[in-house]
Amino acid sequence: MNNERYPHDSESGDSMLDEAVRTLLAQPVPEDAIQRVKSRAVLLANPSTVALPSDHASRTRRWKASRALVGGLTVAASVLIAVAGVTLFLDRSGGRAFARVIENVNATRSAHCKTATRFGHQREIDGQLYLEGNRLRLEQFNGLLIQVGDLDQKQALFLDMNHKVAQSAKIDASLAREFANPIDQLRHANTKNAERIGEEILRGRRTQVYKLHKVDLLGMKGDGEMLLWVDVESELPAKIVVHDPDPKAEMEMRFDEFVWNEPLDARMFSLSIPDGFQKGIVFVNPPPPEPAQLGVGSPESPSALVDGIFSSDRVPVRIVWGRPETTITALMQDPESVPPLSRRANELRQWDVATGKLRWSEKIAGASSVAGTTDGKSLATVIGYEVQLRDAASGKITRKWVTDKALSPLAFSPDGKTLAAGITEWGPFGGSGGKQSGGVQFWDVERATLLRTISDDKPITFVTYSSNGKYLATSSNEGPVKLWDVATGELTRIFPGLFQADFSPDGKTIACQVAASSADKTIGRVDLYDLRDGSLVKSFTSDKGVSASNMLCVRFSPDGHLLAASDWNGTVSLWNVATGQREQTIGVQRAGVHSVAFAPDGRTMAIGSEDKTLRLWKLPAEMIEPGLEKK
Amino acid sequence: MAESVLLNWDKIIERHAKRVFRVALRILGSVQDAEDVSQDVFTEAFQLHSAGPVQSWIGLLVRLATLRSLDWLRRNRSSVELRECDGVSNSEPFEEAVAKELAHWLRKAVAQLPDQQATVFVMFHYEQISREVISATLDISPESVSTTLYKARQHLGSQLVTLNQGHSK
Repeated sequence: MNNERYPHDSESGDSMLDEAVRTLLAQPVPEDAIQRVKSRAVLLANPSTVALPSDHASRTRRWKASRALVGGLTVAASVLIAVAGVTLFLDRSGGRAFARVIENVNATRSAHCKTATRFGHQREIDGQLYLEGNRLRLEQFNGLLIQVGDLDQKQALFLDMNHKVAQSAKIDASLAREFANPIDQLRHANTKNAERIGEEILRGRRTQVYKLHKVDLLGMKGDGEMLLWVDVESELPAKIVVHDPDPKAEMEMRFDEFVWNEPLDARMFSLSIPDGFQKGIVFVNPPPPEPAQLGVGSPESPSALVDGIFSSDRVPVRIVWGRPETTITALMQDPESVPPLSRRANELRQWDVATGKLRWSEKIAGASSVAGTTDGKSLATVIGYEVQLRDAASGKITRKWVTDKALSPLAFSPDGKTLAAGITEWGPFGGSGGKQSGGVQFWDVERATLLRTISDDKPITFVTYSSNGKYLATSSNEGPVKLWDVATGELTRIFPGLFQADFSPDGKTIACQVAASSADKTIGRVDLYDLRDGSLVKSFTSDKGVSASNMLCVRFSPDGHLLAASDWNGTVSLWNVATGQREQTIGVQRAGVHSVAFAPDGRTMAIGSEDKTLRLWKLPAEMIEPGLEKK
Repeated sequence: MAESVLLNWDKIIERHAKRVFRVALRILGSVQDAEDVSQDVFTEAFQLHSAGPVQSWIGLLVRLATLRSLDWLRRNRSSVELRECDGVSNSEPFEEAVAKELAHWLRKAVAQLPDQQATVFVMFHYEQISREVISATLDISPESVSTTLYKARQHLGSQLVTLNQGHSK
């Protein structure tokens, strides 16, 4: 006999569940209780008038709850402090975290990356490396020399694509050196040989930097050193630099722009001689040098380089034009190829545009941001917890104050009275633990007082004001781009976007660079959104690049007629905003482009790139708005 | 404190107090406990509101109301069970008594769900918020909402069957 209360007919209990939910929903909700809840909650905003509940039981319960809460918080805080101590202690060597990196590398199916090898002062050899298990393919000299190796079968194939010659070989001890690669080294690395030496933002991604000793690559016989930039999100290497510590050797190999676990075509690792190839001896010689480049950019480039190159020793990562455009200031840092511990303090430098002479230079330690007022009179930098206002004419500090948060990106309001500073808290343990947080602090520049703080759950790495000062756009490295109402501090819209964004000068739209979403990752994209309704107005796509697109900076020209985006794949794209057409793609010597900035008159564009140059480009008349041309 | 924060706070309470109390009541089954939990929820929400803008008030408040109610239920399970069992009077019509007991079982089962499953279940079934809105307010994908909801329903369904069968023994 069935004595169940509810005569269910479904073993899954679905019908019982639905019936139970219906019963609960049918339960009346007393209005008087809701009124009590409302009246108590309203008093929270005015604690001086909070009346204690008359009901003794309720009061006792609340006090107990508060006591439990306080007790719980105390215990939690103690545990956190204890854990913090232990974590700091354990992470000092970086061994545990590095073990995870090795585990992850061992768990990957495939990888491919760009390679660059340099011996002494010889020309750098660029290439592409593809790995799948113990099979490897290395393409060098623009794909003219290909090496394929299967370390399990101990077989190799060399292809001279220029002369269509193929050579099969057995991988013996000496040939194995040709196929030595950093991933294989990592798979067999001893965590005791690893130390964590710092943290760095690598092309917008946060990375932990490790040094691995006793590396055996290219005949270094266990004496080599490997620097690894490990992405904190994926815990996989984003970049590897191997170098011989012997200064006479002057040997360095770089493996960059890693892509992990993307399916690779099995034919890439085929050891069969391709059709049309003859058997023969493949010489590993570099091809003849390329003809010297005539200027920079494509031959049909309508833009012309003016006033030469302003810098040749450090990388201009941020550019601020003077008002009027007679001066240009840049934040200079060492290139990524310099190991973090060997880098010098960053600098602010200002040049006279007409003569190209350096006006002044100021060391700014590790500051990574600079902002300028629209009148061109002041600059702002932030070093650690100190905000510094500088006289743009001399670079000297005129006022400074200390904050309670780690700040990084800066932007002046259009009237120059307020400085917005992005909060960049990476967590207490350098990213390996703790909670990230962000937000923006608004500072009254005149009084050096904090006007308002808005909170966010991610570190803020970019801030910019709209031209009317009504909105502030913020972004984290991985996005999204958030739009805040400056007057109320309210978040008004969220746009998909990465790294940086820019408001159109008319204040109606915002341009956000987005991750390459097409099958061809070498094509980048910038989306233009309407600020009023958040709708997508149009998309601008870049030309096909020589390597994966990774846009870093997007800027409107002062009249809003042009939109420029700089890319780590060495290009700057210029679009006509009205038509959406790409006007021009400027190639910059195969080096990543960090920054782009239009001069206030819109006739010149400054480009700062990883090849340690700050170039000024004169824009052709037909590209500039007719109105401007008449001025 | 900024005046706009205070002004907005009144509107937020007016708009969401009923929802917060309703969620707490449906999870706890006790008006008095639901009132206390609602006040805790608003206290916590006010602190967050003062610290900075909140992206989704519905998401925050329903989530807080669910989690704090579950905490309360887990801390005070014995008293809740006692109160609920008292409610099942022998003098009530059979259908009403069965319905009350079903509701009681559901509360018990919801209290055993992982937090995320409980929140999604409460938002979808108790507050009848669409999958898309849940996805946006909890910052999880719509697929994840469906999966979480499915898991929650499976878990709750089997719990109810077990409780029902246990009652028959």
